[in-house]
Amino acid sequence: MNIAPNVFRISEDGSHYVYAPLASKDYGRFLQVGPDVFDLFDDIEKGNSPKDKTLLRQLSRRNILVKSIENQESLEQKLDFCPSATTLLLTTSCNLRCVYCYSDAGEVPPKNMDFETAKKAIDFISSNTAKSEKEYFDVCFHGGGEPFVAWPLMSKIVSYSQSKADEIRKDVKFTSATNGVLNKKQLEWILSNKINLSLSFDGPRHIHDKQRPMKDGSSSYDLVLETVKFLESNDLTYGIRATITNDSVNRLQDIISFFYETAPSAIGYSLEPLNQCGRCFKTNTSSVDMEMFAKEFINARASLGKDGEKLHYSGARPNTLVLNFCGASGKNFFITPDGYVTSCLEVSDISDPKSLTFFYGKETETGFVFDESKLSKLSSICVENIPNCHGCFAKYSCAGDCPSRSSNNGNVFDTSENPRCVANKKILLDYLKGGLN
Amino acid sequence: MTKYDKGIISESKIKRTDNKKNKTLDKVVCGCDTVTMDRVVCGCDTVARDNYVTSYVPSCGDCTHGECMCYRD
Repeated sequence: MNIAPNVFRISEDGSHYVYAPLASKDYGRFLQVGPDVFDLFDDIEKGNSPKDKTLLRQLSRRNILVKSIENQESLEQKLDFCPSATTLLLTTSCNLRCVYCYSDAGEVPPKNMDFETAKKAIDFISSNTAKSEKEYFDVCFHGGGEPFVAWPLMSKIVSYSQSKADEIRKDVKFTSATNGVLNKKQLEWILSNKINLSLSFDGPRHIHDKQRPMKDGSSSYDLVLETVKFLESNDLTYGIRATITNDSVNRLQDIISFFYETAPSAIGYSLEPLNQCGRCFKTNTSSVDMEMFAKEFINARASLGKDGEKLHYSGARPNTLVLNFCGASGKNFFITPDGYVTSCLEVSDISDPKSLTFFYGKETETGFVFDESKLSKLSSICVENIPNCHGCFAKYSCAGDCPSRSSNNGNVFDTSENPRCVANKKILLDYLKGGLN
Repeated sequence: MTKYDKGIISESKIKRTDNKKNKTLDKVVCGCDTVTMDRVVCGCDTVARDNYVTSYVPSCGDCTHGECMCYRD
């Protein structure tokens, strides 16, 4: 008898758990067990024959113990590169001056995408979609800067995408990140073109304004709130993303309550702890204490009961079993304003040392050319190739976490110094314990 | 838990969303694309860079906020 691959033992506060995320094709198993189960595992590993035959049978029935470790359930990684989605980073300009801006605003001249660049990206993904069974292609707009600062360009791209979709007789879906500082015409346009939004909003006025002031330092809160009211009253699909700083982490419950009251129709509230970068160094804004974040997140979720399902944190995704944290592993087809192809939204400038890892292509006169060796290396950013993740019960949830932020000295296969690990594990374990009968 | 707890005390099944039969996977595009519609949420932030765009002068003439702020200085 063997312990099945990817069965994890977890001890916390004197309690013992067994987690088998790949116990069957359809579901994983999470068990609270007595210490005798761990003893039984130890016996098996030492080659001793376990004495408790009843327990042996119970664990075998649950695929925790198996006769052979060959041909056990595993996750597959798809390596084909045929994107049917693109994210266009339209501009580096922005009308806000968030204290934690990762792009360190003001240090580089503004860059704006040419319409021709966007067209080539749309042509590429629509062509891929036409050849596939997929019914639609995705066009997304995102930073460096605020996409709606480049609204005329965005509008032109949306029209062009719609015409391409008609041409290939498929659908197109639009999404955009935004800081929510939008005028009425823009909001009406969003409504008429069914643009799904991811709204950056940090919570109550004093928190939001401290962290996300306008360019001139004035308040952005009322403007964002107007946008939220419009989204709420017009049944638009949107989610909220809030950056949690050391100043706001103790107010997590207030922030969540605020969102549930102010933006009840949002499909989710994504809480992301700040990782010190960019402008943080100028504004003395430090990374969040991840122990504290985990504690507050767990408390906030618990206080919401079933409503807590709308809370998200990217490092702990209980129902998602993946080998890659995100599409940075050679799947994302993101276009920078100057026509480079990057797989990471946060690496969007050629002067960024991380571009050596995440930039894998460039616009040409007729389309895009890709660096196959870089694409191949990106595709290998997989949790199974990150040695320090082996043996971690959260490995298929965070999948090694964000390759850009968690890498150690730029080595994307070493996440041993990742400060988010502690929160990833605590929050995932809390999710799992919450499901116990 | 007490010292008498033995064996399997309690358990749960967690539905796998990576299974091919479950269409959720198609929508779990990436952890880094902040759009949460039907996707895994992510950690990326959205705003960046100083400086403002001069090539996109607002043409509506009646904007009350937001758009104007980009061009204020």
